[in-house]
Amino acid sequence: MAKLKKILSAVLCAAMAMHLTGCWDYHEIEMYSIVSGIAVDKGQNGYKYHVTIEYLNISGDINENQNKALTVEADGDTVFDAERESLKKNDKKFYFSNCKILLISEDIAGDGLKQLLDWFMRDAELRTTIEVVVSKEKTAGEILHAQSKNQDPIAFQIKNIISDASYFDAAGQSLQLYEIVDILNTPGEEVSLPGIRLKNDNGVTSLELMPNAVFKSGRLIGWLSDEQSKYYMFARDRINGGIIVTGMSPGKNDIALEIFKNRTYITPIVEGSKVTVRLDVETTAGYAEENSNQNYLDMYGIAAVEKRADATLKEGITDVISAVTKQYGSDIFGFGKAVYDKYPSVWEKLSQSGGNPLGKMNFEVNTNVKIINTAVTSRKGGD
Amino acid sequence: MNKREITAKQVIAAITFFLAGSSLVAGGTSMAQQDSWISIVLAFLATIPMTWVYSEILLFSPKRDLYDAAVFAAGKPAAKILCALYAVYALYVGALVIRIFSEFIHIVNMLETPIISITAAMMLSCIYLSTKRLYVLGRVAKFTLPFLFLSISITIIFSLKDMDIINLLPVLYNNTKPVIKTAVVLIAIPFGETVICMPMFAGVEHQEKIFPIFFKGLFLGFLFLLAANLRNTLVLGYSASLFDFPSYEAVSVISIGDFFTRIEVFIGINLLLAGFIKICVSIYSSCFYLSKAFGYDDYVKLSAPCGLIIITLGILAHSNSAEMFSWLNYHPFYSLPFQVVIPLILFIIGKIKQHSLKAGGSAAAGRQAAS
Repeated sequence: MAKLKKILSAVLCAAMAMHLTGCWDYHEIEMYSIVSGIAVDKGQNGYKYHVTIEYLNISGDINENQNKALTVEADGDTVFDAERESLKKNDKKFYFSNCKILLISEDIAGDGLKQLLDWFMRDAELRTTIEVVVSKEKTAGEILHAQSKNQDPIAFQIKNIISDASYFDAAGQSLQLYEIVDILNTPGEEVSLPGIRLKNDNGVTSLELMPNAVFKSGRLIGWLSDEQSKYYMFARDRINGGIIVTGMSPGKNDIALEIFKNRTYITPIVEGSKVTVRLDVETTAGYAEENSNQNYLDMYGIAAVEKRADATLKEGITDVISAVTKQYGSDIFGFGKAVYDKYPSVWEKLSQSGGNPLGKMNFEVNTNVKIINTAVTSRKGGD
Repeated sequence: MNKREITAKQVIAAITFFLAGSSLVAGGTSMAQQDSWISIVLAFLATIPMTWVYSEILLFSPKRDLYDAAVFAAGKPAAKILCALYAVYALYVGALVIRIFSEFIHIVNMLETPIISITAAMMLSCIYLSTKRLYVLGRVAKFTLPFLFLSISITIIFSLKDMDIINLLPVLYNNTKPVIKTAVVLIAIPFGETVICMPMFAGVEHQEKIFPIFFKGLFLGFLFLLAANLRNTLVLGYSASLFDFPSYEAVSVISIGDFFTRIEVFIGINLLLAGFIKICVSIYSSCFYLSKAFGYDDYVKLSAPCGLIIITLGILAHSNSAEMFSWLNYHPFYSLPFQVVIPLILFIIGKIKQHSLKAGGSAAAGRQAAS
């Protein structure tokens, strides 16, 4: 009897052990295609979406002229459907956890982000830090197809361009998925995403970051210009670096200041029925280039240059605010949110009385550029 | 042999884990959005008096035995019925925890693994721990509490740069109603669930005061919950109220440089530790109540059956994860009687009895002195 008990318990233990190995979801990396980016276009043949997936080419030996990424595309009525449809053309299942970029075409963006982004938000494999970019080409897919000069995956290139540009060129910074969803659901704030297009120089294709697109209620309604996009970044407090080009007289752009640090403080002020949004732009910059035959620092001194930079910055920011207010009426600056956060009832009145809330606000832009050095020369070369 | 099995500090750790449990991972508080932290504070404040009531009830019995206290207050038959009811409640709380636990793993990590095998693997160790008595449970809780603290601190420190204080504004604008509603849900789950921790005090040194222990545990758990909630709201903003597992998503945003990313596994650790201990406490309590209700001497033998009931209940209780999360909003109707109504009645009856006993006692003493 005791022996039987022993044998039985041994059998039971063995049986249990088999269930506890935890290998149900065991996957080898070579069973997967690692996705680097997705592009979503309007579908063909009656389907709603046309999805292009870029995935890494992880075959052992990659020689010089081989692309490091491959693409596959398919149609479907939903994004997920199209993604699964594309598996018919690929021998491995797609793995999305590494997907960095979601490229959308202009017409998809025009249809609205809310319906599109649901799957990207809901699916457990995709990360909420995926960045969204709008294609300025006819389709988003052709950007992923491009044979670029250095053969790196296009999605990774886009990501690098965006992060470098935001640090060194005061250019379009993209939003991560969770930030977009946050903005879409916040009163008094609209989404603005950077554009990207292909550039063909003597047969060599490269990518080019374009100014930001303007959205209203999650739908694309227009684009900013290069200049506007830059000053939009100032108004939005998204400057990590870049250049302010100014000159000692208006219209003469011969001084370049390198931005070291920028902070923009947005303060809503309510006086009676008058709502004013004050922007205080605090910039620390270096005197980086003086493209002239004169010696401005000797002639005018640093304080005068700072003043001119202040004026340039102020004009640029004021221009982009009034242009966006007039042309699009979309609060991509989040000024409405600033009012809503501090004076919710005032915001309620502003937004409910019809019309464009931005148009009912006044703006006051204060800029303060501080030049902290003149790089390695304090005198002008050749003097 | 089951006297003084557990020290005061171990009970505090167990209560903390019990509170942190599933709530640290699952949201379920989407109504109040950016004001949900206020709901947490409200729920905490509202629970303090209740824990005082729980401690007073335990003091009815010199042995701090909940059953004896109930017998004192309500008589033997009523106490037995109450014990049976609370056993069901404790089993259900355990079931809900293990369900959230397995849903989390099933949705986020292991799609192909059946829920039953996830829960079974978890339950096996829970049952094992329970059979080793309260002593081991307390030591495990106390030993692992620093890890919970560490993982929360690390995730908060690393997500500092992604935080935006503006996400908390405007404060209390969307009416106070959703905030109160969320607070009520939070009282029901997890704050009021501390009622399940009551049987543990039978094993604590008798000279230890009960209320301070309860309060310290409650306070620590509250701090963890508040910290996690603020982190999620500050990082994710509106999106925090969208996700079923906001902590996981908030932490997944963390990226320091290009190499220090994807530390969501910390949230998995939280869940593993806190969920594990919460289930163990639930098993212990249900065993305790059942053994009292049916007159068994020792609770340990009931651990395995209780554990198996919890697994089954966890799977049967809800047909899908959306149903489970929306049920959390109706949970107060089910659990507030156990957390508030019954303890209050017991407390009042017990206090009256105590008073009349004292009065009777002193009257008798007076008579003795006179004669």
